[in-house]
Amino acid sequence: MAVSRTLVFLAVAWMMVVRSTAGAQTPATDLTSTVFRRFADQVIKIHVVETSSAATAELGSGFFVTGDGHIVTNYHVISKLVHEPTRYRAEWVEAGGATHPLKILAVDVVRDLAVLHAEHRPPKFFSLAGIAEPQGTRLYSLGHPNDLGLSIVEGTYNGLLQYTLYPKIHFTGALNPGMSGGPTITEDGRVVGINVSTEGNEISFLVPVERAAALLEKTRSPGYVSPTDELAEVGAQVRAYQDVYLDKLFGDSTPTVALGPFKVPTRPASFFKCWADATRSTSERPYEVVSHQCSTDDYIFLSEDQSTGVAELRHRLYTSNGLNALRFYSLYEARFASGASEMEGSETDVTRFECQTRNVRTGGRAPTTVRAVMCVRRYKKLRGLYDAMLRVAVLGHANSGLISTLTLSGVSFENAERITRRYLERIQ
Amino acid sequence: MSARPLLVIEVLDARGGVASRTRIDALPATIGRGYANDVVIDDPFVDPTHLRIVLDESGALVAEDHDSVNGLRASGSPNLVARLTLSHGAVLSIGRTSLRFYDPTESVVPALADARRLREEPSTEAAPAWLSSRRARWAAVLAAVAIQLASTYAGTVERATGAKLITAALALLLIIALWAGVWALAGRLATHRVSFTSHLALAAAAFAVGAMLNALAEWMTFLWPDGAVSAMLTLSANAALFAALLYGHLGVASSMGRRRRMNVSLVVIGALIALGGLFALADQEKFTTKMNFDEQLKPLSTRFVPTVSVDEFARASRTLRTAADANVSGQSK
Repeated sequence: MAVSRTLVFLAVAWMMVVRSTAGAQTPATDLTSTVFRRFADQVIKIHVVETSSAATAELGSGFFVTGDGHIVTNYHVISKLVHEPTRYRAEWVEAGGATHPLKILAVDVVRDLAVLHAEHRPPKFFSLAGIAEPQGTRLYSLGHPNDLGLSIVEGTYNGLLQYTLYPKIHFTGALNPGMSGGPTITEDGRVVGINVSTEGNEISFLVPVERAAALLEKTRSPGYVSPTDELAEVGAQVRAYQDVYLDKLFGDSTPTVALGPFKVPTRPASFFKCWADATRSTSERPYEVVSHQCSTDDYIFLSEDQSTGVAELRHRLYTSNGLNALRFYSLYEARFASGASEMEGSETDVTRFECQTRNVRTGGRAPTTVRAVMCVRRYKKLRGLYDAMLRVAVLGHANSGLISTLTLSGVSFENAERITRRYLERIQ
Repeated sequence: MSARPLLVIEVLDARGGVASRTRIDALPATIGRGYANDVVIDDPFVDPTHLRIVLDESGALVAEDHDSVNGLRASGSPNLVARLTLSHGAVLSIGRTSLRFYDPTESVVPALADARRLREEPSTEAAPAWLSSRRARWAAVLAAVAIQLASTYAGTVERATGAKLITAALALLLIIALWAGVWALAGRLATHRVSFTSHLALAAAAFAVGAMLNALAEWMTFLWPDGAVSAMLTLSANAALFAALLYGHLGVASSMGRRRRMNVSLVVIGALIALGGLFALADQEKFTTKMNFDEQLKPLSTRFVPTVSVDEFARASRTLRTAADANVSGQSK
């Protein structure tokens, strides 16, 4: 037994020697270590604390961007403070445990950014000058994953995402919870983006540094006063955002796609991603379904319970040779009632849905008779914003039917009405 | 006119009720299972001629055991006896049957005044008339099964197999049989009558009418999805149907008069509607992320479907904003 223990010890010791020797021969490891040493003290840990219990409710990262104590982080790191400023406070927690209060200067909820301020004069800070990197550039992401201490993650720059309204960087590297708000930098310390989200498997996303620079610039402009009601500011930003991206949706230039005997709109803008699928009929399931849907990749984080800013359209074509008209309409009715008749939300954030159904004769070049349902619910905390759903079933075909659903979250009622009207007109 | 009876013999049922009452005008009289007896008893434990009723030397009425297999006992006594003297109201047992003897010269108590009879017409025709026809009763059951089969077939979007249809039909039969069984039991307790098939027919007819009413309501909601009118009609029709069902069951299972049955039915329906209203109100206030809407889709040529224009639809949708805004309590609108 003692002999085998000694052998194991020797084997481990040998492996360590080999690894340390190999490490000494890899410049990248040295470089990472150098980057960490040079820039670690410019990255901070942010705690959002529940005031009455003094418990940490949210953990994130941030980094100094001026010598006056300006800090950039994500909006979602401090969203609790925005929603309930009397219940939460934000703190910068030093490695030794000392805490310093943080104040919100500005938020950009659409890009998930915030600029905070600490009464502290950091000796060093990151510059937010914009840079253009070629794909494959080695980057270093800094932050506090799961409160395990400041960490550095190596990864590569993989360009901007294709299907987003606002640019977002694809970073191949393992971002983890707690690193949000931290910087991703080049080896010489130039900030490329701000850590924001991950899809796992080293697929991570960064907010381009230009957006953070613009937000910082705004807070430093002469006469700038930070909003007294940050939540109202968040609402105003979402309203402005939806005005921009909904403006041209489903206009005359929107392409259409033929599904069976029907024509329906598809990919209404470049920032929509579309995909399709089909299931064939079997002896047990005597009908076919062709699905075609498009959705924005962008979404806006409002709080842990609520995201918004998503537009989605979903078409389902049902056809059957094995069902007579009565049975086919049982299927059609069941699918009309069920698919995607629910949207996430909590009672504190949104109202119940109010719905209305009518049989509608659409105008346009090829008038069509449809059963149309419009459902709307209002945001409780953000004035003038609604979630809306329009569902349409084309009537009058014995063995085929099309159910089309348009879902819009975080839109003004005027936009919901305008967009659903255009959408209805484009179903033929 | 018959001679003055010597005595009256009552055959009692298991619960002590009178199953039959026979006047005896001449003695000796015989009691037994045989058809030649003066009192015929349907009890396999009674001999063909079990008892003889005679006058003894003193002129008293006496019941004599006719050498029967199971003998003669005074009621409540385990001992067999060869003969018993019969007094007014005496009860004796033969086989598993009890007999009670009455002296016809004894007077009976005056009739009770029937308050209900003074207020209402008699309830002798309480049950719906069609229930008296056996053919009509089974026709109702068949109609219910046919409707169930048709609606299961129309509602099956996967392959419709015989097993699925038969299961649906059997499930319906089981449910209405259970329902009818409960009513039949209640009727048995209240009136000592068992009318299972009448209750079954009532339940089947109510199911058939209800299914047709709901199909009609669905079509109405499809054609005119404004909501309020068809919802009210559906509620009223279903309430009226359930009240009629209750009224019919009470007619078969109780001796209530028409007015009373109607009152009971209306009170029960009123209570159910109130309860349903309370639940609906509670449900309306409950938060949900689901969208509830009129989902009816029917295979009908679009020429016959009343429609509105896109503009009218958009205008009508504006009421949703008002409703959604009203749902925000304590918030600025």
